[in-house]
Amino acid sequence: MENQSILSDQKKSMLQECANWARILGIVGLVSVALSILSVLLNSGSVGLGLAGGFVSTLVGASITIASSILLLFFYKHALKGIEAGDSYSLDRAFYNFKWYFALMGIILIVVLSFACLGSLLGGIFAAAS
Amino acid sequence: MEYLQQHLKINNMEEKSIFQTELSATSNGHILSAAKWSRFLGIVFIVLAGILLLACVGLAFFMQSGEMNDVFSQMAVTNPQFAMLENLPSSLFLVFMVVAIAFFIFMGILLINIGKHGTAYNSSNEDMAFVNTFKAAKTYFLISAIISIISILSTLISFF
Repeated sequence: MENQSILSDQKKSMLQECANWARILGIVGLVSVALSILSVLLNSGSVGLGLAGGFVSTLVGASITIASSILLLFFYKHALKGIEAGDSYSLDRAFYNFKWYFALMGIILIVVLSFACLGSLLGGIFAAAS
Repeated sequence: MEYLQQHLKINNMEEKSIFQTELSATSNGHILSAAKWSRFLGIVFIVLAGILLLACVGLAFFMQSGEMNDVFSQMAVTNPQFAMLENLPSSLFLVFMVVAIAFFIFMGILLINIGKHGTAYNSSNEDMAFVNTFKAAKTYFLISAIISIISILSTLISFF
């Protein structure tokens, strides 16, 4: 599957630039997860129930951010390998991670919007009942 | 003669595969799928910007009636963090909302561009469509990284 001319120079340079920024975003995402967990742990002495809620939401947010960061880092890794070696399989893997990054964002958005709609619907029903 | 023709045909196919400048069908499929998801995200971002705009108009009317500070002072009773908001000028909220709307519109346009050019690349295999797809994706990643760095810095500042 080795192929030196699978991408033109223009395509290669743009894909590399995109992959570089994807790596930076991935690293920044992982750092922000570490900081948010640290922040929750440092505030652990303050409130009981609020802390539990905060910890759960941080955990959910952290797992989503970790998953998206890993996808971005894999996109960078495989794209770079594909560009340097002209390896078609690596490029397939890179675009697979690129696709799943956007799919993950889309799925999360659908879930969040569903919860928001459900919340406003339930809120409306409770408000009408009382 | 037939053998020679077959041999030439095989040679032609090999040359085509060695010097091809197109991605595999699998890669094209992944780019198309990413483009579709990206377009969906872009449309939702633009809709969210519209909702924020409506909220902004509502907030402006609310601020004119002067009830904003009353709401914050009531909230500050249960949660002391809102006491800080009470002292801030009301127009600051409008500025914040306008910035948020501009951000959502810009990101939405970028995501729609990824979708548009990604779909165009899948159907035409043009170099420019590929370049434009990843140019928009690069800008999207760049802005997301900058926003994340700002939020990290604000978290770090809150530690001290």
